[in-house]
Amino acid sequence: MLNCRQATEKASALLDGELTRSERWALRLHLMICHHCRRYLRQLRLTLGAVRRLAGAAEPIPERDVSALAQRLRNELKR
Amino acid sequence: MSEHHARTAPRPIDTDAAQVPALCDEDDRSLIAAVLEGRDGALEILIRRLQPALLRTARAIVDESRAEDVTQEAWINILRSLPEFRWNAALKTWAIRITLNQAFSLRRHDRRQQEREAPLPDTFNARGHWRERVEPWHADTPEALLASEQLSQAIQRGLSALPETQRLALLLRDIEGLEMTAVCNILDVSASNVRVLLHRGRTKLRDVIDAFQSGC
Repeated sequence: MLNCRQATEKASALLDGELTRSERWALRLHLMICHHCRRYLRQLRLTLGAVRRLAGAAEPIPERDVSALAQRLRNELKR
Repeated sequence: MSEHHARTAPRPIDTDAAQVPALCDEDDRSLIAAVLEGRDGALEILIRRLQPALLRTARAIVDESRAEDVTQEAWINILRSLPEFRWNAALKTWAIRITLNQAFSLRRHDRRQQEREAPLPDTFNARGHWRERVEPWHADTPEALLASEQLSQAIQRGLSALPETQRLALLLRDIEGLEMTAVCNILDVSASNVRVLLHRGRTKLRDVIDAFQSGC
């Protein structure tokens, strides 16, 4: 039976789809009896969701920057 | 730049013509073919598609003020190497790797020191169980979490404060969404090491949010 420390380590790998079937079962078994680890896994998912949104929302590249970079690259490649 | 790269440079692209809207929905292979053929607007589409990820990658290694220089040099390498690209990796993975190399190269000139990692706080007892209760959070969606500007800034700071390899692993896997094998290849570490890096980095960011939520 996994303890909580091991379960939290497996939780991260679970999010990556990196657990074997037996590891998934062991984690599921632990989560059935441990509401702290269930809560931790939920919070880990929320954390990753927030990090993704934060990074993704940060910077659409302004159109004039796209044009300027493209122009600089064309000039550089003509040399 | 190497002679090899100079020989394989794509022909210049006409800057004056209007963009081709139809290209926007084409996949990476079609887009690259269009860039190599010098089709109007193709380079701009490629820049729009990749530049946000390349900037994030550069910023994970160098200061904000250097990140644009890094990406510009990376773009020159990318475009010069494009005719040789054989799709052994996804375009984005390949471009990120070139950008990372460029960033590391610039930093070597800076001789900046790598930071040391602070150990994770020991939240478990000797039997491996939680020392303290895991308290529920007030927010139950990422959007609700990010509704707080203070928390958004705390997460940003937490991400910046991670040791470099953890920050890169999180960037590549969690933000850019690269496959685990691609992350391993780019960072040149084993899958088990990447798993450890991700676990530690994610735990620290979760702890940042947890501390914030506890203080609400």
